[in-house]
Amino acid sequence: MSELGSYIAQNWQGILVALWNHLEISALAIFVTLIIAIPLAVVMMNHRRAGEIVLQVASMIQTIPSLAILGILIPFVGIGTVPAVIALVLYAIMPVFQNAYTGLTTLDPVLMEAAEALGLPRRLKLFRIQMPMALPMIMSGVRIAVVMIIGTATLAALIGGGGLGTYILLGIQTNNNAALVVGAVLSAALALAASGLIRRASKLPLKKLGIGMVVFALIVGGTSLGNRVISGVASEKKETVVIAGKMGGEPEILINMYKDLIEASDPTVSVQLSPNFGGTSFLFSALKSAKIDIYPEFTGTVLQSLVKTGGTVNHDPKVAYAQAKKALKQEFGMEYLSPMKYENTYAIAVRKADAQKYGLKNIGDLTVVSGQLSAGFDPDFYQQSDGYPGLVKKYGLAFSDVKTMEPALRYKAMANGRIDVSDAYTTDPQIKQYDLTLLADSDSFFPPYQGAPLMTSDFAAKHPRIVSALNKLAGKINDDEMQSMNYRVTVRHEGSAVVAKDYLQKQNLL
Amino acid sequence: MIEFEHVTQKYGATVALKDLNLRINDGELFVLVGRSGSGKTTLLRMINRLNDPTQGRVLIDGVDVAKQNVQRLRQHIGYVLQSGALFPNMTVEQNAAIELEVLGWGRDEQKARVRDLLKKVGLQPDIFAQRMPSELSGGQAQRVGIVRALAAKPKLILMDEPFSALDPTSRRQLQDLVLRLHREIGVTVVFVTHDMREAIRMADRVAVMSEGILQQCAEPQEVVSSPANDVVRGLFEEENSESLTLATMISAGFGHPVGGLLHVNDGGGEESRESKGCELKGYDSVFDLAAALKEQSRQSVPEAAIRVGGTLLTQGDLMAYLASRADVDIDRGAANDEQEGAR
Repeated sequence: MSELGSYIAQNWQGILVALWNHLEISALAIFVTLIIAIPLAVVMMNHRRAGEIVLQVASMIQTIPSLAILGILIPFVGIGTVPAVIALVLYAIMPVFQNAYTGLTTLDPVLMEAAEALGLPRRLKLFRIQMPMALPMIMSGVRIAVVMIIGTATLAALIGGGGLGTYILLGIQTNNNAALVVGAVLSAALALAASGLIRRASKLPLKKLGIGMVVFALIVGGTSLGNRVISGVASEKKETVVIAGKMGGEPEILINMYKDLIEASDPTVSVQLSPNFGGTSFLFSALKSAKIDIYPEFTGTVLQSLVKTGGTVNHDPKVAYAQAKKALKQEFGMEYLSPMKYENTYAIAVRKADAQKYGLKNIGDLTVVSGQLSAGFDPDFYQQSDGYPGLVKKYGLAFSDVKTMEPALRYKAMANGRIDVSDAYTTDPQIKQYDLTLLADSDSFFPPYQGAPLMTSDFAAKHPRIVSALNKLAGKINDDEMQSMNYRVTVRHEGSAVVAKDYLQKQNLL
Repeated sequence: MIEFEHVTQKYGATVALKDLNLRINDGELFVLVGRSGSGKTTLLRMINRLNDPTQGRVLIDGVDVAKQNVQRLRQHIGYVLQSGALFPNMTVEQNAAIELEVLGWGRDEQKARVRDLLKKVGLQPDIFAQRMPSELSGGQAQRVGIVRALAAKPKLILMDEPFSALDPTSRRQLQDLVLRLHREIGVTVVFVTHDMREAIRMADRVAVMSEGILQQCAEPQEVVSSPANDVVRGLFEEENSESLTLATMISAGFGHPVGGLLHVNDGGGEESRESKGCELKGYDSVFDLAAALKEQSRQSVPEAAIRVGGTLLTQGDLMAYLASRADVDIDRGAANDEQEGAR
């Protein structure tokens, strides 16, 4: 609990921004939904066959996983708020349309005949009779949609849309329960509050409801427009460069360093960061379609997943980097700048006590004792050929027991003594936290994973000052330094911007 | 004047109306009567084009309704449905004034008109104007329905089984109300019912419908005294349990001659019947008598009595007559009446 309290105390400004962001995205999505779905229902109520078709299509969209919709949208509309809102609208149309359509088409036929017989003009009939009578049904659809939107909007964080999802993702990625609780509780509370508000509003007459909605739209719209204008004025005449990073603390530290370096060397550029942007494929396709400008990528990942290598990955870091750089240039027209020193590669970890007890230094030392040890691996590592299966072959290992478990859990399991051996990333802060020892990969089994900024050649050619600013990091940051920075951010929950700046200042890079 | 010229209505292979010709005069209270499926409601709905005939045409004052703007046509024809059909989201006043709103009346004019009409149908404007339909009884709701139909001062009002869902007492009251309003306002009323007694009681002229064919069109007395065919006669037999009509009761020797018991203003005729609600006809049933007596006692008329032709009937007469009847007969009659009330 005290952890949660201190987390909130340290991050309350960021949390408020995320909360506002979340509200903004959700409000925008629900307004667009209402503007589409309700007139559609009004039109369709007199064209029942078409109405049924619309209903089917809306239900079909509903079944597409939201993550997939986000992925599909990135090449077309880019990252940030826009695709998030589009995805949310696609989802929310169905409940709103269905309820409005059903409400409007199941009104008492006797009353509809009375309206007919009175010769009421269409508009009057719609606004004075049909809409008010269908209103409870329409509002219950809106309520469902709003709750759904607020919940689903947490996914916006995956594509740099911001919102409370940022804290949920951060919490999951960095095993930070306080962040997770903040994100989850706030978005749930927001959903409940919105639901209660709508329940109350449904009891108002149509006219007051309309006025209320317009006022709400003006407040939210006006405030966010105001914010935009203020930040727009501030960044006038500046070019905006978007830098994204993968999930987790380490990429966030790196992109903060990029930002500081670029802004220090070129005051005409303002850098916008999108941390916790998503997985490799999200980032790479966003870079290809120029929705982002730069992101840090690992040589090993480039060679394993992004370019065609013909199956062989060289184990010499320098050769591997050269190979990755060349392939990126040829296949995608991308510029891969010089890598930093540290390697965030796979490693095998044991408890320090066991290392001393069995005299373990290299992975090869495990061969003799592996029969007495149980292992737990990340599911990916367990399956990949450059993971567990290859490792067993190379070093001739035979553990007494092998489990697969979530990466976040394996360190705790190791500390609790439930497993004795696990895979790890060389810069994981938990190695320090749980007092673990990494065994040396003496036979160079794991491919090298060195981080370096990736951008399109086009961008690099147009921004020589940015390239030279980023190249200041080349060959900098060793494994220990990265590990301790990760420790500060992920375990001690210090701000990544602060940690990044500390390092740059200490190294006189700024 | 409304004219139906060779009107035929087909639904697929079914013929709902067959080459029908009919004329309704201005100012008439014209009743269409028949069983369900006889085509009477279809005929009514052709007047304001809720139905368009398959063949033939309907003329109002010599103009084909099909050639008129349908909205304007309907705005000038009052329409009363079975259950009042008030819009549940509007107050009594808003419901009653909706047509006036469409026609662009000023707000104050609307209010005054509705208040005036509410008084006319026996609803205190101060009490009822701001009520919601859910707060009204069936009879009250139908009164508001009538106000809505009358609001725009139409020359023609259509009523589709307006009282069939009401209990016998409310039904009688509303029948009286419509008769009174018709006389006061001089509006043409086309009234659809399946209840032959109601038809005879209300009508200036009756059109008896069966299976899409007009069987007889005449004044009620003529329909009663000389039914055109077996179909018309059959409708009467169904409706009236003959032994329980007041005519039977009087001929069995019950009642007192007018003037013997009470002084009744003979010269008033129609007016006295309406204003005091104390006259029935020979074809009315003893249940109508009971309802009328009950109404009088509620209004604290000292010596409650109902005039039927030249005879006055009291509560005592009613009890004595019923006592003289076989129990079976009464049970059957009562059951019939209850059913009707529930419908």
